[in-house]
Amino acid sequence: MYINKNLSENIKGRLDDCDDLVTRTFPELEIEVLFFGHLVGEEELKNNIVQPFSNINSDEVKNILRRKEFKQEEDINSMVSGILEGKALVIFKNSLAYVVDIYVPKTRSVSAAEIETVIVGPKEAFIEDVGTNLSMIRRRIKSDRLKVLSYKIGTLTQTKMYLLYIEGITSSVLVKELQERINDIDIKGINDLNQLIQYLDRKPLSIFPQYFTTERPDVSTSKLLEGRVICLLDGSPYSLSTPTSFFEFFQSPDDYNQRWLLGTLSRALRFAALVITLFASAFYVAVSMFQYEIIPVKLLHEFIKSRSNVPFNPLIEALIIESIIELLREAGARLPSKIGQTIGIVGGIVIGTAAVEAGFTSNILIIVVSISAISSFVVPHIIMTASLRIARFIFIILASIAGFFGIIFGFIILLIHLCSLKNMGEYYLKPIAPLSLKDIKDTIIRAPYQFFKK
Amino acid sequence: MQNEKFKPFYLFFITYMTQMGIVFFSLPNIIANHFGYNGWIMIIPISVVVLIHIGLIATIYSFNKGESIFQTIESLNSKAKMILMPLYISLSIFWSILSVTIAKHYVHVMKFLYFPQTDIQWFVLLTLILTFYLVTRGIITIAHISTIFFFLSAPIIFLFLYFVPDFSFLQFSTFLFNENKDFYGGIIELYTAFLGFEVILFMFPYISKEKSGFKYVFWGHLYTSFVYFIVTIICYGFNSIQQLTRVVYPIVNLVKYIEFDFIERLDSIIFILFYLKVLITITMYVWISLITLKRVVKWSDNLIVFLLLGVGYLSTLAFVTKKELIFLLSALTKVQLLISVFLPLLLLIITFKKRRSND
Repeated sequence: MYINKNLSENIKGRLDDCDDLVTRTFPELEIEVLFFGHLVGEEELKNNIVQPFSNINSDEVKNILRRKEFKQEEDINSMVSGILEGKALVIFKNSLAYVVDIYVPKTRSVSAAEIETVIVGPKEAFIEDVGTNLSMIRRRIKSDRLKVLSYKIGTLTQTKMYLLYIEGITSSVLVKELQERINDIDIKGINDLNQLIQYLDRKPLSIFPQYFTTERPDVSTSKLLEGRVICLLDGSPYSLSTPTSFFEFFQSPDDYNQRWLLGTLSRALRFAALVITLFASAFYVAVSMFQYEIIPVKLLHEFIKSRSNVPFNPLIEALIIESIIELLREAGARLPSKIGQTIGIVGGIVIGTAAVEAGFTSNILIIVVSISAISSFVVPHIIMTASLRIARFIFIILASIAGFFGIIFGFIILLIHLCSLKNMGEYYLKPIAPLSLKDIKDTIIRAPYQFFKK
Repeated sequence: MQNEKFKPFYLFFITYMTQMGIVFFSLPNIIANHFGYNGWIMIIPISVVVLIHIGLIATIYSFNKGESIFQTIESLNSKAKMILMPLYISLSIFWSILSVTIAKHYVHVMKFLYFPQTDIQWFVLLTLILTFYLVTRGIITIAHISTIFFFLSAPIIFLFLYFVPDFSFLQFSTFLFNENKDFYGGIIELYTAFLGFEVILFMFPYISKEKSGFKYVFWGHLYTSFVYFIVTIICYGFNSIQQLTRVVYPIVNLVKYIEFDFIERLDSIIFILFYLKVLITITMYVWISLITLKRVVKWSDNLIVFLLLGVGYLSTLAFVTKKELIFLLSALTKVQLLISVFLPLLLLIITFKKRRSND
């Protein structure tokens, strides 16, 4: 749409009822400037617009408009979208239009990571401004092989999205596949990267997360170096990486920043935590409903004594305590941190002890459930923890139906599901299935760096 | 998924996991019953014979360069497929019945030992659900799953170190095969304990071609023999021959002896962990019956597997007691033994004929 007459009226017509539109005029120069005041920086406005047009005569205007920050625009749609993106539209003689980028995002400053904390290593985390996030990655990879593709997601929100990969390391098939998936997204708007992930998902019925998200630029950088694709979305302090493997969710930057033995041992600890959080409560239910014989005689006495006052069967007992833990966790997540501590005390000490004394549950179950809850928080990534919690409830119910056989049944279903899952053409359970001894040294264990080939 | 292939080393896991089955728990009893004193020695010659048998399969593999055996058979005559169709259908039904029987037998022992009040049909149905789910994921997933199951169940072998202090060479005695009852029947019984390697025949097109990939089948078989051997020797050194002939599941009894500070009577866990191996055995037989039937009909995998399992389930419905199941299983495994002997021989003849006509 090319309109050269009465440009100002046309633009203002498009932005009708947008009372936050600011108009600034320089009548003696026949110049009108349109912009959204809250999107632009005061300093930039002063330097690029106000100062150049002050105290000059009309002959000099053309010289100023020839400066490189003034970009001539002829399409009215681009003019409007320019204004919406935080640019200033300079209209000269009501027929020529120029856009000047004076956008300054108003976001918080970079701060330390809150969820994925580390003991040793960089502390900074992504923020809501995608430009800053991109700069954090560019600062870490100073190479022309780092490619950045830009997208707009959402027909209304027009949210900026960047797709990053390193040429020569990432397979081009992967980039193409992800591009296709991004182009397939057809929505009005998007608020967060975690929503985007669910649109990209091709296995929505699985309980396991299909994409790896992180709030740490150092982790994103290492994913890029491993040949994965990274996505950044404006307004979201996260990055996503794909293809994803199950074992990624059990890695923490700490493993790499500390000495290898410590890294390997803490990974082993996390896998032990995985087993405990999945099976501990189910094991209790199976033992107390079907397989009493595996408890040693010395312990059996205490075990039966602690269960003797409980009026419910082990399944109900376990489900009650597990639900209480879930309630506490959910309440803790919603409450401000200062009150959150009180919840811990009320839940942990008061309800725990009282439940046993009131004969609601057995002591041993409280121990088992607490250990499995603590173990679930050993897994470094919150989204995986959530998946494991769902699986835990399924295992408890299966254990109550057929004891150990029920647990094995559920476990086999889980394994087959994990084995057949694929993310962007790569197996989810890599390097266990398909088995690759070469890759195990950086997934299950963390071998010394000298063992990795370049 | 015709194009997808797996690396040859998966053959090790598939061979071992398919060979190893419920017979593991009763093996020392079978050997003691048939061969008597020092019967464990018989594992070695039988294992060597099986090794030769696998050698036959390896020859076919290398001659046909990984061509599917169906193609080999059908290449004989252009009309062969029409004649073979009834054979394919009956073989595939036979294998589905065999696999359901294996499932039923395991489940029956499990019920007998740990769930005396539960109806075995429930466990059979659960097993068939798992089998259905696993078979329809395709051979690649089956290969991956059998690898994972191997690593989950393989450490059990270390438990047998627990028996070393109580192991006594006195139990072996100096007699050889005394008190044996049915020597030749024993050989067949022992041979069927090794069955399962013949499923490799059907996997030729799925193995990615690499040099000497077939050696992993040999290794898998040797590992099975090793496990059988170790376990039987320990049983012989731990029990007297009279005990071995009377206890039906000597391994279960053996494991019951293990006692740790924090856990007692591991046998239920171990026995149920063994389910992983049995499931792979069942899955492999259902899988070969699936790909056999696929030569005849063009239905979806889901439908074929569902029908096969349904047929297998219904035709074994009447067999419930232990005696009936053991009778059925031993009859079926003997037929399977014949198949596994004659099928490679037939293939070898066809292959030689083809080579001669080509020359």
